[in-house]
Amino acid sequence: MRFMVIVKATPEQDKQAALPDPELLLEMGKYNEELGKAGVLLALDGLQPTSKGARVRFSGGSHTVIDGPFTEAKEIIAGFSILQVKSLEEAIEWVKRAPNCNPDGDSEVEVRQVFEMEDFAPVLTEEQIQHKVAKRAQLPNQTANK
Amino acid sequence: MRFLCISRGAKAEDVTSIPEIEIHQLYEQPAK
Repeated sequence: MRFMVIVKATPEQDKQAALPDPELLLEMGKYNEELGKAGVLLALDGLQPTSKGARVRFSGGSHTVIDGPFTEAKEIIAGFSILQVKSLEEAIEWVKRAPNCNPDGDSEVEVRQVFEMEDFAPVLTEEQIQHKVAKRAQLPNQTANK
Repeated sequence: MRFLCISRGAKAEDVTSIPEIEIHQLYEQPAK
Protein backbone atom coordinates (compact mmCIF):
# COMPACT_ATOMS: atom_id res chain seq x y z
CA MET A 1 0.00 0.00 0.00
CA ARG A 2 1.08 3.55 -0.65
CA PHE A 3 1.16 6.44 1.79
CA MET A 4 1.68 10.13 1.18
CA VAL A 5 3.88 11.69 3.81
CA ILE A 6 3.11 15.38 4.05
CA VAL A 7 5.74 17.58 5.69
CA LYS A 8 4.42 20.84 7.08
CA ALA A 9 6.04 24.20 7.64
CA THR A 10 4.95 26.96 9.97
CA PRO A 11 3.43 30.15 8.50
CA GLU A 12 6.54 31.95 9.78
CA GLN A 13 8.84 29.64 7.81
CA ASP A 14 6.70 30.16 4.72
CA LYS A 15 6.79 33.94 5.17
CA GLN A 16 10.59 33.93 5.41
CA ALA A 17 10.62 32.17 2.02
CA ALA A 18 14.14 31.02 2.77
CA LEU A 19 15.74 27.91 1.36
CA PRO A 20 16.08 25.10 3.91
CA ASP A 21 19.20 25.06 6.08
CA PRO A 22 22.05 23.28 4.19
CA GLU A 23 22.71 20.99 7.18
CA LEU A 24 19.05 19.96 7.26
CA LEU A 25 19.13 19.37 3.50
CA LEU A 26 22.10 17.02 3.94
CA GLU A 27 20.37 15.16 6.78
CA MET A 28 17.20 14.88 4.74
CA GLY A 29 19.24 13.63 1.79
CA LYS A 30 20.76 10.85 3.91
CA TYR A 31 17.33 9.88 5.19
CA ASN A 32 15.91 9.82 1.66
CA GLU A 33 18.83 7.62 0.56
CA GLU A 34 17.89 5.17 3.32
CA LEU A 35 14.31 5.14 2.06
CA GLY A 36 15.56 4.54 -1.46
CA LYS A 37 17.91 1.70 -0.44
CA ALA A 38 15.04 0.04 1.44
CA GLY A 39 12.94 0.24 -1.72
CA VAL A 40 10.07 2.11 -0.06
CA LEU A 41 10.48 5.54 -1.68
CA LEU A 42 8.39 6.06 -4.82
CA ALA A 43 8.45 9.86 -5.12
CA LEU A 44 9.33 13.00 -3.23
CA ASP A 45 9.47 16.73 -3.78
CA GLY A 46 9.80 19.98 -1.89
CA LEU A 47 7.33 22.82 -2.29
CA GLN A 48 8.39 26.41 -2.83
CA PRO A 49 6.94 29.16 -0.59
CA THR A 50 3.21 29.77 -1.01
CA SER A 51 4.01 33.22 -2.45
CA LYS A 52 4.76 31.28 -5.66
CA GLY A 53 1.49 29.35 -5.57
CA ALA A 54 -2.25 29.92 -5.62
CA ARG A 55 -5.55 28.51 -4.45
CA VAL A 56 -8.56 27.89 -6.62
CA ARG A 57 -11.76 27.88 -4.58
CA PHE A 58 -14.86 26.25 -6.06
CA SER A 59 -18.41 27.23 -5.21
CA GLY A 60 -21.14 25.56 -7.22
CA GLY A 61 -20.30 26.25 -10.86
CA SER A 62 -17.96 29.16 -10.21
CA HIS A 63 -14.43 29.49 -8.94
CA THR A 64 -12.20 32.10 -7.35
CA VAL A 65 -8.42 32.28 -7.71
CA ILE A 66 -6.54 33.39 -4.61
CA ASP A 67 -2.88 34.17 -5.22
CA GLY A 68 -0.27 33.22 -2.66
CA PRO A 69 1.08 33.75 -0.10
CA PHE A 70 -1.45 31.83 1.98
CA THR A 71 -1.37 34.33 4.84
CA GLU A 72 -4.47 32.99 6.58
CA ALA A 73 -3.28 29.38 6.58
CA LYS A 74 -2.49 27.80 9.94
CA GLU A 75 -0.43 25.07 8.32
CA ILE A 76 1.62 25.08 5.16
CA ILE A 77 2.64 22.04 3.15
CA ALA A 78 6.40 22.16 2.64
CA GLY A 79 7.03 18.84 0.96
CA PHE A 80 5.84 15.32 0.42
CA SER A 81 6.93 11.81 -0.33
CA ILE A 82 5.13 8.69 -1.45
CA LEU A 83 6.10 5.50 0.36
CA GLN A 84 5.32 1.93 -0.64
CA VAL A 85 5.01 -0.08 2.57
CA LYS A 86 3.00 -2.93 4.04
CA SER A 87 1.09 -0.98 6.69
CA LEU A 88 0.41 2.40 8.27
CA GLU A 89 2.60 1.29 11.18
CA GLU A 90 5.55 0.72 8.84
CA ALA A 91 5.02 4.16 7.28
CA ILE A 92 4.96 5.73 10.74
CA GLU A 93 8.16 3.91 11.70
CA TRP A 94 9.91 5.39 8.67
CA VAL A 95 8.56 8.87 9.39
CA LYS A 96 9.80 8.68 13.00
CA ARG A 97 13.35 8.27 11.63
CA ALA A 98 13.15 11.48 9.57
CA PRO A 99 14.99 14.60 10.75
CA ASN A 100 12.88 17.35 12.35
CA CYS A 101 12.32 19.95 9.63
CA ASN A 102 12.11 22.63 12.32
CA PRO A 103 15.20 21.69 14.36
CA ASP A 104 14.71 24.48 16.90
CA GLY A 105 11.01 23.88 17.41
CA ASP A 106 7.97 21.77 16.67
CA SER A 107 7.00 20.30 13.34
CA GLU A 108 4.36 17.89 12.15
CA VAL A 109 4.26 15.26 9.43
CA GLU A 110 0.99 13.81 8.20
CA VAL A 111 0.72 10.24 6.90
CA ARG A 112 -2.18 9.51 4.56
CA GLN A 113 -3.03 6.31 2.75
CA VAL A 114 -3.32 6.73 -1.01
CA PHE A 115 -6.35 5.32 -2.84
CA GLU A 116 -5.57 2.40 -5.11
CA MET A 117 -7.80 1.83 -8.12
CA GLU A 118 -9.17 -1.39 -6.63
CA ASP A 119 -10.51 0.65 -3.70
CA PHE A 120 -13.09 2.04 -6.15
CA ALA A 121 -14.56 -1.39 -6.89
CA PRO A 122 -17.77 -0.58 -4.98
CA VAL A 123 -18.54 2.38 -7.27
CA LEU A 124 -16.83 1.51 -10.60
CA THR A 125 -17.07 -1.50 -12.90
CA GLU A 126 -13.99 -3.69 -13.46
CA GLU A 127 -13.80 -2.32 -17.01
CA GLN A 128 -13.81 1.28 -15.76
CA ILE A 129 -11.11 0.45 -13.22
CA GLN A 130 -8.89 -1.19 -15.83
CA HIS A 131 -9.38 1.80 -18.15
CA LYS A 132 -8.23 4.16 -15.41
CA VAL A 133 -5.28 1.92 -14.52
CA ALA A 134 -4.17 1.92 -18.17
CA LYS A 135 -4.54 5.69 -18.48
CA ARG A 136 -2.59 6.30 -15.27
CA ALA A 137 0.19 3.96 -16.38
CA GLN A 138 0.85 6.40 -19.25
CA LEU A 139 1.65 9.23 -16.83
CA PRO A 140 5.40 9.91 -16.55
CA ASN A 141 5.54 9.97 -12.74
CA GLN A 142 2.80 7.54 -11.82
CA THR A 143 3.71 5.74 -8.59
CA ALA A 144 1.02 3.04 -8.59
CA ASN A 145 2.01 -0.59 -9.16
CA LYS A 146 5.74 -0.02 -8.85
CA MET B 1 8.32 24.39 -13.99
CA ARG B 2 6.36 21.73 -12.13
CA PHE B 3 3.41 22.34 -9.85
CA LEU B 4 1.72 20.11 -7.31
CA CYS B 5 -2.06 20.48 -7.23
CA ILE B 6 -3.58 19.38 -3.93
CA SER B 7 -7.32 18.88 -3.62
CA ARG B 8 -8.41 20.01 -0.20
CA GLY B 9 -11.50 18.25 1.11
CA ALA B 10 -14.10 20.06 3.17
CA LYS B 11 -14.70 17.17 5.55
CA ALA B 12 -12.21 14.74 7.06
CA GLU B 13 -14.18 11.64 6.07
CA ASP B 14 -15.63 12.85 2.78
CA VAL B 15 -12.92 12.78 0.14
CA THR B 16 -15.41 13.52 -2.63
CA SER B 17 -16.01 17.05 -1.40
CA ILE B 18 -13.28 19.23 -2.89
CA PRO B 19 -14.03 22.93 -2.49
CA GLU B 20 -10.47 24.09 -2.99
CA ILE B 21 -7.34 23.14 -4.92
CA GLU B 22 -3.96 24.39 -3.78
CA ILE B 23 -1.27 24.93 -6.41
CA HIS B 24 2.35 24.80 -5.25
CA GLN B 25 5.47 25.29 -7.32
CA LEU B 26 8.02 22.51 -6.78
CA TYR B 27 11.73 22.97 -6.22
CA GLU B 28 13.84 21.80 -9.14
CA GLN B 29 17.21 20.07 -8.94
CA PRO B 30 20.15 21.99 -10.45
CA ALA B 31 20.74 21.02 -14.08
CA LYS B 32 23.49 18.38 -14.41
